[in-house]
Amino acid sequence: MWRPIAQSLQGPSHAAVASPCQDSCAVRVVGDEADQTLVACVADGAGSAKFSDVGSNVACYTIVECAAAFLAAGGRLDQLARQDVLRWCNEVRQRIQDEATKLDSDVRALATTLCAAIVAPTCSCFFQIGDGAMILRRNGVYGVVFWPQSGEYANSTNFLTSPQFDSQLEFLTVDSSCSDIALLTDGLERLALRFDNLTPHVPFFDPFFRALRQTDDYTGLNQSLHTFLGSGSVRERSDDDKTLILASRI
Amino acid sequence: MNQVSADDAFGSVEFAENPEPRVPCVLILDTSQSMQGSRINELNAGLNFYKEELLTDPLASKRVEVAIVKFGGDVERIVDFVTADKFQPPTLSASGNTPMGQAMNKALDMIEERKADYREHGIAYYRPWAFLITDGEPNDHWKPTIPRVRDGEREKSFSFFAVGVEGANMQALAEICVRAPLRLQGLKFRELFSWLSNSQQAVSRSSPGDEIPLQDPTSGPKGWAQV
Repeated sequence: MWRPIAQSLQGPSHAAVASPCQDSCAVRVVGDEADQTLVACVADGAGSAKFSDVGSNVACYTIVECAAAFLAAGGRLDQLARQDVLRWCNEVRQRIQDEATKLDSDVRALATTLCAAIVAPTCSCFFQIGDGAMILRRNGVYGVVFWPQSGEYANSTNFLTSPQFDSQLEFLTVDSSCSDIALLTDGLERLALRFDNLTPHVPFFDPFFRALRQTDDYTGLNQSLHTFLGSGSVRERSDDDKTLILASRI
Repeated sequence: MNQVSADDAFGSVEFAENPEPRVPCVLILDTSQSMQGSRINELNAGLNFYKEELLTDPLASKRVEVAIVKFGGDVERIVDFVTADKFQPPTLSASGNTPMGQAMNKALDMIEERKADYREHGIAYYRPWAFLITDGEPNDHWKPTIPRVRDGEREKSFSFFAVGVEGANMQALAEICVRAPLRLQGLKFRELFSWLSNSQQAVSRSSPGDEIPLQDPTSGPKGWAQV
């Protein structure tokens, strides 16, 4: 069975100006214990976009909803195509448009990134637009699914709300699974990834997964994760909002 | 191993020690004869203050990188890109004429080289700054540099700012710069560098999608410029 924990925490710079946490996350475990599928999403609302907290939230719950509906209807992950995922993304975009109308605003004010993972026992699907990353561990070996998308400059990336989103969306299905997975937003990239050789920074993840595997009460680790994201050493490295989903399959 | 390849091999230690994304800024400083006296003294004091201000911010001190090109008689790269925590403000002295065109070219070359270094070592970076301060008018072959500055600004290769100290040829600065050149009020170098540091602190902690509105340098108690 899957043991997921997930936390989003507002960064010090956003807290200082009383703006909301613009990151969102959502996790759901679908299916019976012997045949569970994990659905996990993280999204990072654009810093300067006024309602991007709404955008990232809509993106996460909509994707989880679409994926769960697909699986509940007997959909097979190995047959899930890029076109299907683009349709889900268009559903997100439509809902973001509706929210923008309600807020008397523009979709750009709800700009958000998206990283999503669907992991079944023998097959997995991943898609991503913008920065953030998904990290997998299988047989003790770590890998990053897609490297965070960035423009030339550190403060530029792609958003699900942009007109070119369909060409920028990265999509991958594989006939394999993993034992552990992490999804994180941009605020943690510098702690969790090695930019010199484009790999995960293993010492960041190992202790988390070890704890998740060994504990008797994994939901209690949510509080520890929250404390970690707000700790001085993490805050010192990044002023941004931070989101981390961790899940281990026991 | 000869000296050059040894330098290359060990040159990237700075990136290994500090993998933070960088905000490169090259200051292009007029040190011609006319800057002599209180101007150069206040400029030197301003540079020291700039360092102090950046150091008050733990992120900015690891992310903002300063380089300096001076022009007075000749053009010289006197500080190569270093993070604020390792920046040693020089003590400038004034002499010679004003080869501004050559200095701007050198500064823009340095920006390009630095970007290539970052890319090679997988270091993320923000849009570079070029910051020109002068009290005179260019007396070298400067006009050919204008398109380089204007195209680079338009293509967002860098942000180019020009500040004129009293006596500067503001007309020439307006020709060079896409942004309106700023005229320094009196000798408010300290306020200027405080603004520069604040702006770069804001940039250095920005995230994807952030647009960084710069504080208006012309108004308020901290104002130091007029357009």
